[in-house]
Amino acid sequence: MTVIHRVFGGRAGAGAQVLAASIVLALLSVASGGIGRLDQAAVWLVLGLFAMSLDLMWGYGGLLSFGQAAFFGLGAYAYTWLTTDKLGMNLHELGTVVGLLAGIALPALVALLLGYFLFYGKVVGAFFAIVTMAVSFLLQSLGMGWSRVFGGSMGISGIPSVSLAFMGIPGSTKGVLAGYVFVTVMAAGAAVVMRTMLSTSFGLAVDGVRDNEDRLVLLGFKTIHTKLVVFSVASGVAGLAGALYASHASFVSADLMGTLLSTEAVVWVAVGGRRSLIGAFVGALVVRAVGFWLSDVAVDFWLILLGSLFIAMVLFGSGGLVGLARSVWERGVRLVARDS
Amino acid sequence: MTTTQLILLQVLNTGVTMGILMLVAIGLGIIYGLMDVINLAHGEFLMLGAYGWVIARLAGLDGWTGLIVAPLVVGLVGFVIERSLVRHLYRRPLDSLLATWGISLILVQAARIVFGPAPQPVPTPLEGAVELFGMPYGRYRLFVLAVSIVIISITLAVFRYRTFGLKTRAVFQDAEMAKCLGIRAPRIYSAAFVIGAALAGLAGALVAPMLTVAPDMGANFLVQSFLVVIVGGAGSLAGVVGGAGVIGGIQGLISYFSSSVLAQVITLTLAIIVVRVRPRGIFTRK
Repeated sequence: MTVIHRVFGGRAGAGAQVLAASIVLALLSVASGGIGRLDQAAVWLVLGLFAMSLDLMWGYGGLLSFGQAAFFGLGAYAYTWLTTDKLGMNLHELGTVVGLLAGIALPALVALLLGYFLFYGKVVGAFFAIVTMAVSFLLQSLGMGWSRVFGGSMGISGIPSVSLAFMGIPGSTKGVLAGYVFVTVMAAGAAVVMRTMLSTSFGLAVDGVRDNEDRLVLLGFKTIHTKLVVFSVASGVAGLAGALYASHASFVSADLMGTLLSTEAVVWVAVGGRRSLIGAFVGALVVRAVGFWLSDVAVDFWLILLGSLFIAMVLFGSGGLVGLARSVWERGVRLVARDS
Repeated sequence: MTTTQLILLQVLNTGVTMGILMLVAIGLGIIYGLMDVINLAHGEFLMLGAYGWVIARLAGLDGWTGLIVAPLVVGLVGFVIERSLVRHLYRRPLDSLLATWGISLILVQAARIVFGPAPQPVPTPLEGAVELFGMPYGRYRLFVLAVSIVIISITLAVFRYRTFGLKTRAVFQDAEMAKCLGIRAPRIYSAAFVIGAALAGLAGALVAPMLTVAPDMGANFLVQSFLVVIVGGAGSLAGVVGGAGVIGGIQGLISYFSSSVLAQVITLTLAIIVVRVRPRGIFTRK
């Protein structure tokens, strides 16, 4: 058991957990549908990364965002604008890496600006959720209408995938296996960054802001700054996920910024287990995989099932899959201890 | 058309927008103010109301009944949702947000299954135009304006002058104290929820002939009602009505010059800036 703790615990452990989940998903995908299914599975990994960003906001920061997809979509569009001819800013070879960075930077900056107004305006709790939801909804509407920039209802296609030629790695991340590995590495890296951030004294401040903000203010913390950093970092990670999506799917549309994706992510986090990065990651994989499997059976009832999940998690809310796994694990440990 | 007539036309159109918005936002505001429940299914109440025409037509009833059927049906739906789910969620704004979003998804999909996904036109029950200050103006729009003014006035009057309104305001201010004085708060909650739903349903029935009816039409009105509550504050009916006036007015003004989506984006930006300056809304005293 100490081996398990050494590999999956600590700061690097978050990355190892993501890696393990990705390998399991890859094996299941290949076993069920051949190597080609990895293409679909890589999208789920991207969404898992996106779910982790929402978990940072909601699970750790206590800021329920109903508009997280706004930042996912902005990241996707930032990447798209710098790698295609849409806005005449195509940077070609170099563009893909710059685009990836812009995919992180643009959402992070937008969140900083939005957070400045909202947090200083004392917008918290449910009001924060509805304002972020409105942002997401209106960005989607704007994207639908403004086809010169966002591609309108047709979206933008033909987006090149990230090229790592400058690092001496030939080829692109276009291939099925290469794409999967690339997304896995990025997701694991982002998980390590978030875990590291949360395990410092700053992470303790984040816990404090979530549990009792007034007390932290009393202790002299600038809690608004803490929230701004959380919002900005979470949006940057969401943007990275968006940019990876654009690179992998080579297609973006206004729906990527919309309310349905925003709120679906809330379900992923709740199903996986709040305040657990790997929980959110696995939650996204599981819900999407179930949805994919159900889409053969009953596409009409998917939204109804999703809606029921929302109601169920409020009425019977618990620790999600991670909470379940943890209680099973602890029971197992107790049994082993009793036998020895 | 002279400039005066143009301005007048714009004022009338803005009045129609404001009226509808007030009918939707009042329910959202009352429900939030009374029980700390943010009802994300409120837009779907409007959508169901809009389908009231379709339901009435399917039932073989004549044109106008849609307007009566809508608030009754939606009020009933509201009652069922309140009794089965929302009553467990009083004073839990975040949980109510999640659960009512679930309801919203279910209602949208149910409408899609029952009525089909395509937008449907609804024939105007009141054809033609009347001469107003030397210019033609749609009869039906004028009718909508009149109905919304009357209904909003009645609602405000009930909350101001009737015993029910007095009790509601008492619960609004201090639920515990009101309960101590023998007011049955749960009944007030149910009644307010049903009234809010019925008003949204009526608003849906009113807008339907001016737009097309679609399962996902509610989201747009929900977001606009959010803007109203953010700008006006949810602390009072006056705040909601004032907020609806401001939002509807800005929308009407901007959408005259450019698209309605841009108008909404600008309104949201303004609302976010307003929040920074006046956290509790501009119509609420600090």
